[in-house]
Amino acid sequence: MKYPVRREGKFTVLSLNGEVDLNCSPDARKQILKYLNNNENLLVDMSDVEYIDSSGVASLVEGFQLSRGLKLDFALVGVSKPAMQVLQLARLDNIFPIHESIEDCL
Amino acid sequence: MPYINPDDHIYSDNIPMIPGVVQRFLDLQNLQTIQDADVDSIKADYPDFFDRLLSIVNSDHFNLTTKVESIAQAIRLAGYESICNLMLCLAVYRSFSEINITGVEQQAFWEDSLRRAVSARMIGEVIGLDGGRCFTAGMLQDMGFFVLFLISQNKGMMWGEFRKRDPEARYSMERNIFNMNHDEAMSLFCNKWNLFDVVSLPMINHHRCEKSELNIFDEQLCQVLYCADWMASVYTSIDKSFAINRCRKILTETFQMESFRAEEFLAAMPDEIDITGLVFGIKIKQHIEFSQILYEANMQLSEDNLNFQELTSRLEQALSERDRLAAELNKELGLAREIQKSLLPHDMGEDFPLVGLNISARDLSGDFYDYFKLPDGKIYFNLGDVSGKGVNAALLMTKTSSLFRCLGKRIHQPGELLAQINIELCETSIHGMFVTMIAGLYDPQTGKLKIVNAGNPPALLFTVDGLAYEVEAQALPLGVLTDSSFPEVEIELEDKSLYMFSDGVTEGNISESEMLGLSGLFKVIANMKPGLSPAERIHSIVSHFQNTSLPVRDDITILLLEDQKYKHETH
Repeated sequence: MKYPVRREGKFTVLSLNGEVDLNCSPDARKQILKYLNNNENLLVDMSDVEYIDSSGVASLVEGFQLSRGLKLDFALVGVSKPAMQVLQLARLDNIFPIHESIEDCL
Repeated sequence: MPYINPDDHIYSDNIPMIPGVVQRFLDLQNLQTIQDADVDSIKADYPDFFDRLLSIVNSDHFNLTTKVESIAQAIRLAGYESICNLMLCLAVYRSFSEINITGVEQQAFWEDSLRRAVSARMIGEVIGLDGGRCFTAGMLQDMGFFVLFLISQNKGMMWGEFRKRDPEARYSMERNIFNMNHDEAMSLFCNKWNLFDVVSLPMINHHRCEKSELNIFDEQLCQVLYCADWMASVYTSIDKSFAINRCRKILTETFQMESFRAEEFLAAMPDEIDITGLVFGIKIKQHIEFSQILYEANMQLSEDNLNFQELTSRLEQALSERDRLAAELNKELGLAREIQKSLLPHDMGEDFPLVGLNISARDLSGDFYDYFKLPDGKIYFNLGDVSGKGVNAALLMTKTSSLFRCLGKRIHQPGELLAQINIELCETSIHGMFVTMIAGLYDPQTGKLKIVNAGNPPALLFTVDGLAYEVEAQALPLGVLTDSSFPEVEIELEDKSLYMFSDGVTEGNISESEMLGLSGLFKVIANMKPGLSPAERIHSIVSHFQNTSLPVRDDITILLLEDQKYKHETH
């Protein structure tokens, strides 16, 4: 599947949604890496994520690692409650820049 | 009139004019009674034509009971219409057979016409139609085909392509090549020769019998002609078995005949065209027996059959190759599973303070746990969960577990140990995969414990009074950030129980719609029957997931640290 993407100021905004699990996370990963490798500052909108498993989190981690290497902005936006719980449990809420809304980033 | 493309080199004038003998013969039908003198007067002008016609009438082909001396006598005996039909066949043949069109094989065309004629007569006689009329209609039904080449002579080289196709294919090909069909061309011819009243309607309509408004006899003749067309094509088309089957189908469905009649008619055809060819003066190039045609059709069938067999055999090969690969893969997975199991620690007996359990959701697990004694008596333990599932998770699990064992023997501070493993994993990080781990070093001598939680769900520390404390993650999972720190937490374990688990436990389903959750796990442990051994308690937790029919979604791993020595002292 392809997640919707749009442009907001200097950011590319990728909106993940539904269950980002073992089935869907390869698609999420592919898109995240594509935009970063294209030198785009990336915001991942997670407001519609109903569930995320460790493979989905791994895609975010990989995006985060790559953005550091490429010196690009990478942040999570509007993280939904179930997604936030997973991130908090693994303490990953401390490593990703997380914003409440896109306006906060602009 | 059919549409004629003006750019299509139309030479409709090339259709021969109606011969005088035909015109005069047709005029006879307007007389109330035909007198011998009327016929003889025509004969006087066309003696040669009448001699040939008389020999046809007297031949076995025509089957008159007595030999006749003149055409006038033949008309009296057999009727004007029958003789008129024969006359037409002869006249058309004579008028057209002298025309040369480059690419068109005249001889082959008349051979094919004879095949259609004798087929039509055979079928017609079986269903009670006049054989002579059927013969004539069969002979002339595809004159339109010849007319097409006559009016577009530049297309002559296409003749061979048409001839090797079956009637339907030929019919639709005509529209593309000539912009008209042979029945439309036939109507041009009938128009020029004033033949509409005689035999033309069924001939013009034999490719659309059902759609034409014909009387019952003409409709039957129309169907006969259609079948005759297919029977003749058995001898000329490439796909002989297809044509034979089509003949069988028409005979059984249209005429309710037994399908073997098709073979009977087809087998009789070569002798019939030899005889009629001789009578009309049409040379038959080569006498082809039906057995030869059948042989070719069977060869074709067996070729098709061979292709089918080859296809089946290839499919079988592909399936068995797939099964072989699947079996090989399963074997490999089985071996990998065995190796993975061997990485889990052995049961060290009742006095050993650690016991664990791992149930994998797939063949290979991304979870693991381990414990081992150091020379000074301290015990290292860990419980880990690799992000994702499947082979890649299992390989990372193996790597992490090996690193822990290997480095753990040198580094005796769990925080430092995890920091080293983290650096190693970050250096070789792939796909952002990471490992959550809870690990610690327990000293049985002192009952003290140093523990690090790197992104793992909180461990639950239960006191003998049933109070529980959460040991939450203080550090990031392994493999995320190189410079992460892994703070240790010191715990006086003594008579307490430390339950460590992967997220598969809290996220495991205990009913169709409910996960166990952290509070659920807390209740399960708190409400456990007293007197259960540590191993029994772990199994008791897992049994909650086995009450549902839902498959295990995630690997389930539990590790329990509880030192019986202190327990016994307490009680």
